[in-house]
Amino acid sequence: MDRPDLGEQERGQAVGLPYIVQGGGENLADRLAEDRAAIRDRLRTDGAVLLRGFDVGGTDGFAEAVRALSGELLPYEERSSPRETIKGRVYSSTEYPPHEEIFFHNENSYQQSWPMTLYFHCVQPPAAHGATPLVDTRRVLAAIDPAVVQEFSRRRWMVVRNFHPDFGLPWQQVFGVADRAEVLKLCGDRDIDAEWRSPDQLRTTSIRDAVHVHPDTGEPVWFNHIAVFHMSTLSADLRDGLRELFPEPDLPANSYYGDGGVIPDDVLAHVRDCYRSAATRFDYRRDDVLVIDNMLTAHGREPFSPPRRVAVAMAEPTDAGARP
Amino acid sequence: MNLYYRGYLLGDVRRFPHWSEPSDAAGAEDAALADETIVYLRDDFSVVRSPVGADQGVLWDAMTPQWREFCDTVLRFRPPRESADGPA
Repeated sequence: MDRPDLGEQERGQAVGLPYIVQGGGENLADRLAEDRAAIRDRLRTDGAVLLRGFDVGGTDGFAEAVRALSGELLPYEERSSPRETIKGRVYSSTEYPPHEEIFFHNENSYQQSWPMTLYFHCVQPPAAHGATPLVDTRRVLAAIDPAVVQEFSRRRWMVVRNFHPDFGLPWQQVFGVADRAEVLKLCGDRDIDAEWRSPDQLRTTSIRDAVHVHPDTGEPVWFNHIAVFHMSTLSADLRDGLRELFPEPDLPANSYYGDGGVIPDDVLAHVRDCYRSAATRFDYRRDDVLVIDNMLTAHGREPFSPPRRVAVAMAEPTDAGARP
Repeated sequence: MNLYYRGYLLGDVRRFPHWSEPSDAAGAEDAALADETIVYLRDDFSVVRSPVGADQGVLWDAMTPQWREFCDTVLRFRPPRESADGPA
Protein backbone atom coordinates (compact mmCIF):
# COMPACT_ATOMS: atom_id res chain seq x y z
CA MET A 1 0.00 0.00 0.00
CA ASP A 2 1.02 3.61 -0.46
CA ARG A 3 3.16 4.87 2.38
CA PRO A 4 3.47 8.58 1.67
CA ASP A 5 6.20 9.40 4.19
CA LEU A 6 8.75 6.74 3.31
CA GLY A 7 10.74 9.21 1.34
CA GLU A 8 10.44 7.58 -2.04
CA GLN A 9 9.17 10.84 -3.51
CA GLU A 10 12.53 12.39 -2.74
CA ARG A 11 14.04 10.44 -5.61
CA GLY A 12 12.29 12.76 -8.01
CA GLN A 13 8.99 11.01 -8.34
CA ALA A 14 5.90 13.01 -8.96
CA VAL A 15 4.15 14.26 -5.87
CA GLY A 16 1.01 15.39 -7.62
CA LEU A 17 -0.23 14.61 -11.07
CA PRO A 18 -0.39 16.41 -13.38
CA TYR A 19 2.13 19.24 -13.61
CA ILE A 20 0.28 22.29 -14.93
CA VAL A 21 1.61 24.68 -17.56
CA GLN A 22 -0.65 27.72 -17.68
CA GLY A 23 -0.82 29.56 -20.98
CA GLY A 24 -1.86 33.11 -21.67
CA GLY A 25 -3.92 32.44 -24.78
CA GLU A 26 -0.99 31.86 -27.12
CA ASN A 27 -0.93 29.15 -29.78
CA LEU A 28 -0.29 25.76 -28.17
CA ALA A 29 1.82 24.22 -30.93
CA ASP A 30 4.06 27.30 -30.98
CA ARG A 31 4.56 27.13 -27.23
CA LEU A 32 5.37 23.43 -27.37
CA ALA A 33 7.89 23.98 -30.13
CA GLU A 34 9.49 26.74 -28.10
CA ASP A 35 9.60 24.85 -24.78
CA ARG A 36 9.86 21.34 -26.19
CA ALA A 37 12.89 20.18 -24.20
CA ALA A 38 11.63 21.53 -20.87
CA ILE A 39 8.17 20.06 -21.26
CA ARG A 40 9.53 16.68 -22.32
CA ASP A 41 11.82 16.70 -19.28
CA ARG A 42 8.85 17.45 -17.07
CA LEU A 43 6.92 14.59 -18.66
CA ARG A 44 9.70 12.17 -17.75
CA THR A 45 9.83 13.29 -14.12
CA ASP A 46 6.21 14.06 -13.26
CA GLY A 47 4.58 11.65 -15.71
CA ALA A 48 1.83 13.98 -16.90
CA VAL A 49 1.58 17.62 -17.96
CA LEU A 50 -1.63 19.61 -18.24
CA LEU A 51 -1.49 22.42 -20.78
CA ARG A 52 -4.20 24.91 -19.88
CA GLY A 53 -5.17 28.32 -21.22
CA PHE A 54 -3.77 27.94 -24.72
CA ASP A 55 -5.27 28.50 -28.16
CA VAL A 56 -5.40 24.89 -29.33
CA GLY A 57 -6.83 25.57 -32.77
CA GLY A 58 -9.31 22.72 -33.04
CA THR A 59 -8.48 19.23 -34.26
CA ASP A 60 -5.84 20.40 -36.71
CA GLY A 61 -4.17 22.52 -34.04
CA PHE A 62 -4.26 19.61 -31.60
CA ALA A 63 -2.55 17.35 -34.14
CA GLU A 64 0.01 20.07 -34.78
CA ALA A 65 0.68 20.29 -31.03
CA VAL A 66 1.29 16.55 -30.90
CA ARG A 67 3.75 16.82 -33.78
CA ALA A 68 5.54 19.71 -32.08
CA LEU A 69 6.21 17.66 -28.94
CA SER A 70 6.30 14.05 -30.16
CA GLY A 71 6.41 13.81 -33.94
CA GLU A 72 3.95 11.93 -36.10
CA LEU A 73 0.68 10.62 -34.67
CA LEU A 74 0.11 6.87 -34.44
CA PRO A 75 -2.89 4.93 -35.75
CA TYR A 76 -5.01 3.13 -33.15
CA GLU A 77 -4.33 -0.52 -33.98
CA GLU A 78 -5.28 -3.78 -32.27
CA ARG A 79 -7.85 -1.75 -30.43
CA SER A 80 -9.71 -2.89 -27.35
CA SER A 81 -12.37 -0.23 -27.26
CA PRO A 82 -14.59 1.56 -29.73
CA ARG A 83 -13.32 4.95 -30.85
CA GLU A 84 -14.57 7.25 -33.53
CA THR A 85 -12.04 8.79 -35.89
CA ILE A 86 -12.41 12.55 -35.59
CA LYS A 87 -9.86 13.38 -38.25
CA GLY A 88 -6.72 11.67 -39.46
CA ARG A 89 -5.16 10.02 -36.42
CA VAL A 90 -7.13 12.00 -33.88
CA TYR A 91 -9.76 9.81 -32.23
CA SER A 92 -12.58 10.21 -29.77
CA SER A 93 -11.83 8.89 -26.32
CA THR A 94 -13.33 5.46 -25.66
CA GLU A 95 -17.02 5.31 -26.51
CA TYR A 96 -18.27 3.54 -23.40
CA PRO A 97 -21.50 4.04 -21.49
CA PRO A 98 -21.29 7.29 -19.48
CA HIS A 99 -22.41 5.66 -16.24
CA GLU A 100 -19.58 3.08 -16.34
CA GLU A 101 -16.09 3.68 -14.96
CA ILE A 102 -13.10 2.73 -17.09
CA PHE A 103 -10.48 1.47 -14.68
CA PHE A 104 -6.84 2.58 -14.74
CA HIS A 105 -4.68 1.20 -17.51
CA ASN A 106 -1.68 2.04 -19.66
CA GLU A 107 -2.69 2.37 -23.25
CA ASN A 108 -2.04 -0.71 -25.37
CA SER A 109 0.08 -2.37 -22.69
CA TYR A 110 -1.25 -5.74 -23.89
CA GLN A 111 0.42 -5.19 -27.24
CA GLN A 112 3.93 -5.97 -28.39
CA SER A 113 4.55 -2.25 -28.77
CA TRP A 114 2.75 0.76 -27.39
CA PRO A 115 2.72 4.55 -27.57
CA MET A 116 5.06 6.26 -25.13
CA THR A 117 3.05 9.47 -25.13
CA LEU A 118 -0.71 10.06 -25.02
CA TYR A 119 -2.60 13.27 -25.66
CA PHE A 120 -6.10 14.19 -24.51
CA HIS A 121 -7.85 17.33 -25.77
CA CYS A 122 -10.99 18.43 -23.93
CA VAL A 123 -13.31 19.67 -26.65
CA GLN A 124 -16.44 19.66 -24.49
CA PRO A 125 -16.07 19.45 -20.71
CA PRO A 126 -18.44 16.99 -19.06
CA ALA A 127 -21.48 18.34 -17.27
CA ALA A 128 -20.33 16.50 -14.13
CA HIS A 129 -17.35 14.29 -13.25
CA GLY A 130 -15.86 12.59 -16.33
CA ALA A 131 -12.25 13.30 -15.38
CA THR A 132 -9.31 11.32 -16.70
CA PRO A 133 -7.95 10.17 -13.32
CA LEU A 134 -4.22 9.55 -13.21
CA VAL A 135 -1.89 7.40 -11.16
CA ASP A 136 1.88 7.11 -11.05
CA THR A 137 2.79 3.53 -12.02
CA ARG A 138 5.97 3.76 -9.92
CA ARG A 139 3.78 4.34 -6.89
CA VAL A 140 1.43 1.52 -7.85
CA LEU A 141 4.34 -0.87 -8.11
CA ALA A 142 5.71 0.26 -4.75
CA ALA A 143 2.29 -0.19 -3.15
CA ILE A 144 1.59 -3.72 -4.37
CA ASP A 145 2.49 -6.54 -2.00
CA PRO A 146 5.99 -7.75 -3.06
CA ALA A 147 4.73 -11.35 -3.12
CA VAL A 148 2.08 -10.36 -5.68
CA VAL A 149 4.65 -8.56 -7.81
CA GLN A 150 6.97 -11.55 -7.60
CA GLU A 151 4.19 -13.91 -8.68
CA PHE A 152 3.44 -11.82 -11.76
CA SER A 153 7.13 -11.36 -12.53
CA ARG A 154 7.59 -15.13 -12.46
CA ARG A 155 4.41 -16.17 -14.26
CA ARG A 156 3.78 -13.01 -16.36
CA TRP A 157 0.18 -12.30 -17.33
CA MET A 158 -2.12 -13.33 -20.15
CA VAL A 159 -5.08 -11.69 -21.82
CA VAL A 160 -7.58 -13.89 -23.65
CA ARG A 161 -9.90 -12.09 -26.04
CA ASN A 162 -12.80 -13.59 -27.96
CA PHE A 163 -14.32 -11.85 -30.93
CA HIS A 164 -17.92 -12.89 -31.44
CA PRO A 165 -20.19 -11.95 -34.30
CA ASP A 166 -22.66 -9.24 -33.34
CA PHE A 167 -20.99 -8.59 -29.99
CA GLY A 168 -18.29 -6.07 -29.20
CA LEU A 169 -15.72 -4.89 -31.68
CA PRO A 170 -15.52 -6.93 -34.90
CA TRP A 171 -12.12 -8.56 -35.42
CA GLN A 172 -11.92 -6.89 -38.82
CA GLN A 173 -11.99 -3.50 -37.11
CA VAL A 174 -9.59 -4.52 -34.35
CA PHE A 175 -6.92 -5.89 -36.67
CA GLY A 176 -7.67 -3.86 -39.76
CA VAL A 177 -7.89 -6.87 -42.10
CA ALA A 178 -10.84 -8.74 -43.60
CA ASP A 179 -9.30 -12.12 -44.37
CA ARG A 180 -9.41 -14.97 -41.82
CA ALA A 181 -5.98 -16.29 -42.74
CA GLU A 182 -4.48 -12.85 -42.83
CA VAL A 183 -5.50 -12.12 -39.26
CA LEU A 184 -3.66 -15.26 -38.08
CA LYS A 185 -0.51 -14.13 -39.82
CA LEU A 186 -0.81 -10.62 -38.45
CA CYS A 187 -1.26 -11.96 -34.92
CA GLY A 188 1.77 -14.19 -35.35
CA ASP A 189 3.84 -11.17 -36.34
CA ARG A 190 2.72 -9.44 -33.14
CA ASP A 191 3.43 -12.32 -30.75
CA ILE A 192 -0.26 -13.14 -30.34
CA ASP A 193 -1.61 -16.70 -30.46
CA ALA A 194 -4.77 -16.73 -32.54
CA GLU A 195 -7.22 -19.49 -33.40
CA TRP A 196 -10.59 -19.72 -35.08
CA ARG A 197 -12.92 -21.44 -32.60
CA SER A 198 -15.69 -21.46 -35.17
CA PRO A 199 -16.13 -19.81 -38.55
CA ASP A 200 -17.27 -16.71 -36.69
CA GLN A 201 -15.33 -16.71 -33.41
CA LEU A 202 -11.72 -15.65 -33.19
CA ARG A 203 -9.79 -16.18 -29.96
CA THR A 204 -6.50 -14.44 -29.28
CA THR A 205 -4.09 -15.03 -26.42
CA SER A 206 -1.24 -12.69 -25.53
CA ILE A 207 1.30 -13.24 -22.77
CA ARG A 208 3.08 -10.14 -21.56
CA ASP A 209 5.16 -8.82 -18.66
CA ALA A 210 3.46 -7.10 -15.75
CA VAL A 211 6.47 -5.03 -14.73
CA HIS A 212 8.54 -3.11 -17.24
CA VAL A 213 11.47 -0.74 -17.04
CA HIS A 214 10.96 2.72 -18.46
CA PRO A 215 13.40 3.02 -21.36
CA ASP A 216 14.36 6.63 -20.59
CA THR A 217 14.31 6.83 -16.81
CA GLY A 218 15.28 3.24 -16.02
CA GLU A 219 12.57 3.05 -13.37
CA PRO A 220 10.47 -0.12 -12.91
CA VAL A 221 6.77 0.47 -13.50
CA TRP A 222 3.56 -1.52 -13.10
CA PHE A 223 2.58 -1.50 -16.76
CA ASN A 224 -0.16 -3.86 -17.89
CA HIS A 225 -3.88 -4.37 -18.49
CA ILE A 226 -4.33 -7.00 -15.79
CA ALA A 227 -6.88 -5.12 -13.72
CA VAL A 228 -8.85 -3.39 -16.44
CA PHE A 229 -9.29 -6.64 -18.42
CA HIS A 230 -10.19 -8.78 -15.41
CA MET A 231 -13.84 -9.66 -14.99
CA SER A 232 -13.83 -8.73 -11.31
CA THR A 233 -13.09 -5.11 -12.23
CA LEU A 234 -16.32 -4.70 -14.20
CA SER A 235 -19.48 -3.40 -12.59
CA ALA A 236 -21.67 -6.16 -11.17
CA ASP A 237 -24.37 -5.60 -13.79
CA LEU A 238 -21.95 -5.83 -16.66
CA ARG A 239 -20.09 -8.80 -15.21
CA ASP A 240 -23.28 -10.76 -14.55
CA GLY A 241 -24.59 -9.99 -18.02
CA LEU A 242 -21.42 -11.22 -19.70
CA ARG A 243 -21.35 -14.41 -17.61
CA GLU A 244 -24.92 -15.15 -18.66
CA LEU A 245 -23.99 -14.73 -22.31
CA PHE A 246 -20.66 -16.53 -22.41
CA PRO A 247 -18.91 -19.44 -20.70
CA GLU A 248 -15.59 -18.50 -19.06
CA PRO A 249 -13.28 -19.39 -21.97
CA ASP A 250 -15.43 -17.40 -24.40
CA LEU A 251 -15.66 -14.15 -22.44
CA PRO A 252 -14.87 -11.11 -24.60
CA ALA A 253 -11.79 -10.40 -22.48
CA ASN A 254 -10.26 -11.64 -19.27
CA SER A 255 -6.83 -11.70 -17.69
CA TYR A 256 -4.95 -14.63 -16.16
CA TYR A 257 -1.49 -15.48 -15.02
CA GLY A 258 0.76 -16.08 -18.00
CA ASP A 259 0.58 -19.86 -17.53
CA GLY A 260 -3.22 -19.69 -17.72
CA GLY A 261 -3.79 -19.85 -13.98
CA VAL A 262 -6.73 -17.96 -12.52
CA ILE A 263 -5.83 -14.76 -10.73
CA PRO A 264 -7.71 -14.78 -7.42
CA ASP A 265 -10.25 -12.01 -7.00
CA ASP A 266 -8.63 -10.86 -3.75
CA VAL A 267 -5.33 -10.33 -5.57
CA LEU A 268 -7.14 -8.16 -8.11
CA ALA A 269 -8.94 -6.29 -5.33
CA HIS A 270 -5.56 -5.52 -3.75
CA VAL A 271 -4.11 -4.37 -7.08
CA ARG A 272 -7.11 -2.10 -7.68
CA ASP A 273 -6.73 -0.64 -4.18
CA CYS A 274 -3.09 0.14 -4.94
CA TYR A 275 -4.12 2.09 -8.01
CA ARG A 276 -6.84 3.98 -6.19
CA SER A 277 -4.73 4.75 -3.13
CA ALA A 278 -2.38 6.87 -5.22
CA ALA A 279 -4.80 8.24 -7.79
CA THR A 280 -5.33 11.89 -8.62
CA ARG A 281 -7.97 13.64 -10.68
CA PHE A 282 -8.89 17.13 -11.85
CA ASP A 283 -11.85 18.66 -13.63
CA TYR A 284 -11.43 19.32 -17.33
CA ARG A 285 -11.82 22.79 -18.77
CA ARG A 286 -12.51 23.45 -22.42
CA ASP A 287 -9.32 23.22 -24.52
CA ASP A 288 -7.27 21.57 -21.78
CA VAL A 289 -4.61 19.36 -23.35
CA LEU A 290 -3.32 16.59 -21.10
CA VAL A 291 -0.05 14.91 -22.07
CA ILE A 292 0.83 11.60 -20.43
CA ASP A 293 3.96 9.50 -20.34
CA ASN A 294 2.12 6.22 -20.96
CA MET A 295 4.59 4.13 -18.95
CA LEU A 296 4.89 6.39 -15.92
CA THR A 297 1.20 7.20 -15.67
CA ALA A 298 -1.89 5.05 -15.90
CA HIS A 299 -5.21 6.68 -16.69
CA GLY A 300 -8.89 5.84 -16.49
CA ARG A 301 -12.22 7.53 -16.99
CA GLU A 302 -14.75 8.51 -14.39
CA PRO A 303 -18.45 8.06 -15.02
CA PHE A 304 -19.89 11.34 -16.29
CA SER A 305 -22.99 13.30 -17.14
CA PRO A 306 -23.10 14.09 -20.86
CA PRO A 307 -22.12 15.94 -22.86
CA ARG A 308 -18.41 15.12 -22.78
CA ARG A 309 -16.06 15.13 -25.74
CA VAL A 310 -12.37 14.38 -25.40
CA ALA A 311 -10.13 13.83 -28.41
CA VAL A 312 -7.19 11.46 -28.13
CA ALA A 313 -3.93 11.03 -30.00
CA MET A 314 -0.99 8.69 -29.49
CA ALA A 315 2.67 9.05 -30.43
CA GLU A 316 6.19 7.67 -30.06
CA PRO A 317 5.93 3.91 -30.41
CA THR A 318 8.17 1.74 -28.31
CA ASP A 319 8.47 -2.00 -28.08
CA ALA A 320 8.93 -4.92 -25.74
CA GLY A 321 12.60 -4.10 -25.46
CA ALA A 322 11.66 -2.22 -22.31
CA ARG A 323 11.45 -5.45 -20.32
CA PRO A 324 13.42 -5.75 -17.10
CA MET B 1 -14.73 24.58 -10.37
CA ASN B 2 -11.33 22.94 -10.52
CA LEU B 3 -11.46 19.99 -8.16
CA TYR B 4 -8.30 18.00 -7.69
CA TYR B 5 -8.14 14.84 -5.59
CA ARG B 6 -5.59 12.30 -4.54
CA GLY B 7 -6.35 8.86 -3.17
CA TYR B 8 -4.98 7.60 0.15
CA LEU B 9 -5.43 4.70 2.49
CA LEU B 10 -7.66 5.75 5.36
CA GLY B 11 -5.07 4.28 7.72
CA ASP B 12 -2.52 6.84 6.51
CA VAL B 13 -4.94 9.72 6.93
CA ARG B 14 -5.89 8.51 10.41
CA ARG B 15 -2.33 9.07 11.53
CA PHE B 16 -3.23 12.75 11.94
CA PRO B 17 -3.26 13.14 15.76
CA HIS B 18 -6.54 15.07 15.81
CA TRP B 19 -8.31 12.87 13.29
CA SER B 20 -11.96 12.06 13.84
CA GLU B 21 -14.60 10.94 11.42
CA PRO B 22 -18.39 10.78 11.47
CA SER B 23 -19.69 7.81 13.45
CA ASP B 24 -21.93 6.83 10.54
CA ALA B 25 -19.17 7.10 7.93
CA ALA B 26 -19.30 3.39 7.11
CA GLY B 27 -23.06 3.33 6.69
CA ALA B 28 -25.59 1.41 8.70
CA GLU B 29 -24.24 -2.05 7.88
CA ASP B 30 -20.66 -1.70 9.07
CA ALA B 31 -19.22 -0.93 12.45
CA ALA B 32 -16.31 1.17 11.16
CA LEU B 33 -14.29 1.82 8.06
CA ALA B 34 -11.17 -0.31 7.75
CA ASP B 35 -7.71 1.25 7.50
CA GLU B 36 -7.48 -0.23 4.02
CA THR B 37 -10.43 1.85 2.81
CA ILE B 38 -9.48 4.20 0.00
CA VAL B 39 -10.38 7.83 0.64
CA TYR B 40 -9.70 10.96 -1.37
CA LEU B 41 -8.09 14.21 -0.26
CA ARG B 42 -9.46 17.19 -2.16
CA ASP B 43 -7.66 20.36 -3.12
CA ASP B 44 -9.70 22.19 -0.45
CA PHE B 45 -8.12 19.73 2.05
CA SER B 46 -11.37 17.96 2.83
CA VAL B 47 -11.43 14.14 2.83
CA VAL B 48 -14.22 12.26 1.05
CA ARG B 49 -15.03 8.63 0.44
CA SER B 50 -15.63 9.02 -3.28
CA PRO B 51 -14.60 11.59 -5.85
CA VAL B 52 -17.59 10.66 -7.99
CA GLY B 53 -21.26 10.67 -7.12
CA ALA B 54 -23.74 13.13 -5.71
CA ASP B 55 -22.94 12.16 -2.12
CA GLN B 56 -19.18 12.16 -1.81
CA GLY B 57 -19.29 11.17 1.86
CA VAL B 58 -17.30 13.89 3.62
CA LEU B 59 -15.11 12.40 6.36
CA TRP B 60 -13.13 15.50 7.30
CA ASP B 61 -13.54 19.20 6.61
CA ALA B 62 -11.64 20.93 9.42
CA MET B 63 -9.05 23.07 7.63
CA THR B 64 -6.78 23.74 10.57
CA PRO B 65 -3.15 24.81 10.12
CA GLN B 66 -2.10 21.54 11.77
CA TRP B 67 -4.10 19.55 9.24
CA ARG B 68 -2.58 21.44 6.31
CA GLU B 69 0.86 20.85 7.77
CA PHE B 70 0.13 17.13 8.10
CA CYS B 71 -1.12 17.00 4.52
CA ASP B 72 2.03 18.70 3.29
CA THR B 73 4.70 17.00 5.36
CA VAL B 74 3.30 13.52 6.06
CA LEU B 75 0.87 12.84 3.23
CA ARG B 76 2.90 14.96 0.83
CA PHE B 77 -0.29 16.28 -0.67
CA ARG B 78 0.66 19.11 -2.95
CA PRO B 79 -2.09 19.83 -5.45
CA PRO B 80 -0.71 21.24 -8.68
CA ARG B 81 -0.78 25.00 -8.79
CA GLU B 82 -1.59 26.90 -11.91
CA SER B 83 1.43 28.92 -12.80
CA ALA B 84 2.26 31.29 -15.59
CA ASP B 85 5.91 30.36 -15.30
CA GLY B 86 5.80 27.37 -17.59
CA PRO B 87 7.88 24.27 -17.10
CA ALA B 88 10.95 24.73 -15.02
